[in-house]
Amino acid sequence: MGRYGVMASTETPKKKLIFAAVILAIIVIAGVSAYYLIWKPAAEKVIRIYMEDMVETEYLEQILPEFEEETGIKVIIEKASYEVMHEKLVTVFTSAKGYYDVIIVDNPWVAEFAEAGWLIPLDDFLQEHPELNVNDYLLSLWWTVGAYWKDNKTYMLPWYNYALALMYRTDIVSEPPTTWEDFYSLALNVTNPDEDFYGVAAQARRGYKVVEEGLNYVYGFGGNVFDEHLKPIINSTEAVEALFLYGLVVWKAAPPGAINWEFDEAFDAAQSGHAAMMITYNWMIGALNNPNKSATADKWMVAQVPGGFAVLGAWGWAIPHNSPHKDLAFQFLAWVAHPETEKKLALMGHAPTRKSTFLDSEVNSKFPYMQTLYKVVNNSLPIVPPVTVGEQIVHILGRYFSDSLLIVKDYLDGKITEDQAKSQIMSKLTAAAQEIYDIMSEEGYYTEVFTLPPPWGPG
Amino acid sequence: MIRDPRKKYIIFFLLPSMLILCVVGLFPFFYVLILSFHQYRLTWWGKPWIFVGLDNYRYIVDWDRYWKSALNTIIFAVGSTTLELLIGLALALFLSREFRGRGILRTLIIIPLLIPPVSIGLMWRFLLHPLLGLIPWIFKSFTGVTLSFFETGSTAMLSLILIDTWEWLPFMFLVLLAGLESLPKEPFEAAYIDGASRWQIFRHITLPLLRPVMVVAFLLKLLISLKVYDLIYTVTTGGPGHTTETLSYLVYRETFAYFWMGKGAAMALLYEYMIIVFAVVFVRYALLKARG
Repeated sequence: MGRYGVMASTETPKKKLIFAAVILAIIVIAGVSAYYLIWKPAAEKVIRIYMEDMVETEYLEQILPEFEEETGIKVIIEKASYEVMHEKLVTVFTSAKGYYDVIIVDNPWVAEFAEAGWLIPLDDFLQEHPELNVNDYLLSLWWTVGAYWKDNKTYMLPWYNYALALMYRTDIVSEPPTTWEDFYSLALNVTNPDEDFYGVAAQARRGYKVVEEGLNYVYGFGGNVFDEHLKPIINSTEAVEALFLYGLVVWKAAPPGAINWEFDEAFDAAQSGHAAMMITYNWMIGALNNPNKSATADKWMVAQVPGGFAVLGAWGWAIPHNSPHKDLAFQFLAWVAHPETEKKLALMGHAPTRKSTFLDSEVNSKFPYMQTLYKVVNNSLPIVPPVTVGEQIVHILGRYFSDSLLIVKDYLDGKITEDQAKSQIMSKLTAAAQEIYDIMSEEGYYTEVFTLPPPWGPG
Repeated sequence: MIRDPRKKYIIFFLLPSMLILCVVGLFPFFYVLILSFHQYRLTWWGKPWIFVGLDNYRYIVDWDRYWKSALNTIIFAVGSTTLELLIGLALALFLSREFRGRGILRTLIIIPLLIPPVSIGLMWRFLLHPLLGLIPWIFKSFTGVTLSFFETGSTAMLSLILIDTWEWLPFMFLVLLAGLESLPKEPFEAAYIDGASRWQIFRHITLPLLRPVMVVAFLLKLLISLKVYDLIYTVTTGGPGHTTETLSYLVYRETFAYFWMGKGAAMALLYEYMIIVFAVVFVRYALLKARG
C-alpha cells in the first residue's frame, strides 16, 4: 500500500513506455487527421455548402464536376434533414468563425436571416453578372426567395420551387377536379376501405405538413393568412369552410391515421397503390412515375390544385455573412444560378425557377407536363410573406389547423352539429390570428403601415 | 489552514474537476436565470437584452398552453413509468428464477435500450402505419379491422406511452432484478419454513424489502420521462392538435426553433423548479413510507 493509500504501481518501465507511445500515436493521428480534414482544406480552394438531403441536391452533385474542373474549386456539400437545418444555420451564423461558404435558405427564414444581418446582399454581385438576368425569375419566386421587400435588397437567388400540385391516377380519374367540392366528391366515390383504397393520400400531421396541404383549400375558397398590410386574416368564413371540407377529406376519404401523416407515409400509400390522388410538391410527379421508386409508375399525372391557387414553397441560394471564402462563394453562385445550369438541372428533373426554363422546348419535350407546372408556380403564394417570425407563424397555423381537424372528427362522430363545428373552427382560427398578431407586434411590424409587393399586394 | 498533507493532496487533485463542474454547471444556470428576466430573441443579433423583470414568468403563468403541456407531460410520464414498473417487476420476478434459457431471455430484453431514441420513434411510426405497418397488418389479418394509433389525442398518447414502455422496460427490469438479487435470503427461508404461500411471501416480504429500490427506480425513470422530447418530435410533433405536446417539446420549440430566448429561459427554469419540488416531496414521502 502506498503512503496515501494509493496502490504502488506494479507496471514495468517497458510497459509504461509502450502505453505512452500508444497515447502519443493516437494524438499524432488525431492531429494529422484534423489538419487534413479541417485546416488544410481552408488553405486550398475549397468551399462548403449546406443543403437539404433530397433529390435536388443529388441533381446538383451530378453536374458539380463541371464547375470544379472549370474553376479548380473543390465543393464539399454537407447534407442534412430539413428538421435540423434552421437551428444549425442559426448556430453557424452566430458563431465567431464561419463554416459554410454557401447555403440554401427556405422561404419562411428569409426575413429572419436578412434582418439579423446574416446574409450578404447580392446587389453588387448581380450588377457584375448581368448574364444571371434576374428578370427571368418568376415573380412569385423572386419576392419569396430573392429580393427582400422591406429593404429592397437582394439576399438570395432562387434555387428551386416546391409549389403544391395535384397528383392523380390516370387509370382512376379521367378529369382532374377543378374545385375542392368536386375533389371531395371524387375522393369519396373511389374510397373503398375494404380494399384498403382511398381517394386521397393526405398529409395532415401537425406542423408544416397540415399547413402545406390545408392552406391550398383556404386559398381555393378565397381565404388567406395575411392581407397586403400584414394584418392576419386567417379567421375568415372562407377559411372555416375550407378547413371543414379539408377535415371531411382527411377523415372520410383518406387512409386511417392520415391526421398524423407526413410526406413519407403519404407517398408510400400513393406509390404502393392505396390512393387515387395526392396533394404534394409539383416535381414529385417524377418520383411517382419512376419504376425504381413507385409500384404504380406511369399511372400518374399532375394538375393544378383544385381552386387553381396553390401553396408555394421555395429555396434560395445565399452567402452567409461569415462565409470563410466569399470570393469563391460568389464564383459558385455565378455558376449555379446561370440559366444554362438551371436548364441542365431541369433536364434531370429539377424544379425550375426561370421562365426561360419553363418555356424551353427541350425541357418541354422531355417533360410534357412542364406547362402545367409553369401554371402551378405562376399561380401560387407562400404560406407567409418574408417576415422575421415566418417559421413560428407556420407552426401556429399548424397547431390550429390540426385542432380544426379534430373538431371535424367530433362532428363526424355526432358529438357536435355542423354549425357548432364551424363555430369552433372559427374560434381556433381567431386564436391563431391573435397569436400571429401578437408576435408580429413584438417584432415591430405594426409601428408603421407596410404594403407588400406582388404576389401578396397590388401590382 | 489544512495541516494534514493527505487532505491537501486530495483537495489538490479534486480542485480541477470541481472548477470544471462549477463552470459547466453553475455558469449556465446563472446565465439562464439572468436571461429569464430579459426579453431577447436570438435574431436580434447584436442588440442589447431588454430587462423586463418578472414579465416572462407572468406570461407563462397565464399561458394555457404551458399548463396543458405540463398536464400532457405528467400523463405521459406517470403512465409510462407505472406501466414499466409493473411489467418490469413481473419480468424481474420471473427471470430471477433459475431455468434454462434465462440468460438468453435476459439479453433479449435489454435490446431496446441499445437503439437510439430517434430510431425508435421512426421505427414505431412505420411499424404502426395503418396500411403498410406490420402490427396493423397482423391485427387486420385476424380481425379484419384496420388499426389507427394516432387518430385522436387519447390513442396518440396511449401509443406514445406504449412505445416508451417498450423502450425503457429494460432499464426498469435491470434495476429491479439487481434489487431482487441483492435481497437477503433469510426472511424468505423463514417464511417457507413457516408455510407462507407465494403470494404472502411476495406481499409481506418481497415488496416491503424491495420498496426502496422501486422508489428509486420509479423516480429515476419518472425524471427521464418528464424530459421526453425525441419521441414526441419523431412520432407526433405534439399532435393531433395540442394533445401530445409536452413541456420539453414546447420549451425547445419556443427557444431553439423560434429563438425567444428570454421566454424560453423562464419556461425552462419554471419547469426545473417544479420537477425539483416534486422530486424532493416524492422522495421524502416514499422513503418515509418505505421505512415504515
